[in-house]
Amino acid sequence: MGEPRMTLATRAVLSAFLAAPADEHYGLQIAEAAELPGGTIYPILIRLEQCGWLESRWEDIDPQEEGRPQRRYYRLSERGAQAATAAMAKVISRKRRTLLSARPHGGMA
Amino acid sequence: MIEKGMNDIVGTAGLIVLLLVMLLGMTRTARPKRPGKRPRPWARGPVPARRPQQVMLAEHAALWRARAKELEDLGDAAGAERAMREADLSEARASWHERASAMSKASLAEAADREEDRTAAREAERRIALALLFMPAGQRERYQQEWNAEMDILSAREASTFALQLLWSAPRTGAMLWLKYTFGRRPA
Repeated sequence: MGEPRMTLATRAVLSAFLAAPADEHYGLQIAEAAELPGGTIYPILIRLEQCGWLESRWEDIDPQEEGRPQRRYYRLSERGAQAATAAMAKVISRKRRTLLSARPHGGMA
Repeated sequence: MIEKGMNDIVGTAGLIVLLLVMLLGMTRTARPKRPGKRPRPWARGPVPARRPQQVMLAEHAALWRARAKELEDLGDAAGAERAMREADLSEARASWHERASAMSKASLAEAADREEDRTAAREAERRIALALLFMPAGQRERYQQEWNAEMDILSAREASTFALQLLWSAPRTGAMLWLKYTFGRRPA
């Protein structure tokens, strides 16, 4: 599967994961960290999971004991951690290049 | 020839009648209503709104107190005492009504809040059910469980908003899953 489109929302989600690459997060935690509305992150999570950048699993608890349903936890896969770091670096360098090229170079009047 | 003439006459007469009817209608609608005359004398007039019970009872208490003072001035001690008792009774009733009204207001507000929460919860359920229709049949259960678990920690209103956001993004999510399901790599 190819690379996901690096939209602002995707970058925000990846930044949230890259802040603690080894940690597992559930949907609302990710949304909060990425400062995105809760219900809007699922297409991104699914896309990243399809690309193999994220892994997910059901929380290992007894819902009866905990008094709440099991959550789905997401974490960066090994490949995802490398690819996401590279993709973020690429975006940042591209942005820097754009900013530099937009600077006035001076010229002849 | 005669027939044509008759047709012309009838047509002109019809046009004149039509104009007259229209004019009559216009004058009728423009006619002002006669003041003071009720169009339906049998119908009940506007009923004046009744003041709250506690206000009326407080007024009664004030009147009874004034009456007690009058009777005291006139030298009727027994009458003054009776009037004072009535005043105290009216005051007690007024305060009871005030408390009851405050309680009923609070309970009404609480009931309204509960009803709003129930409506929001039903809305969230409906939205989730609708969003799940976009998902491939085999994966609906997973997403239903996942989204319900997320909504478990939210208030009813927050859950409703969350479900609405899910519903908005559901077609895109569903399309991605369907495409993967249809064209995705399968084990050899």
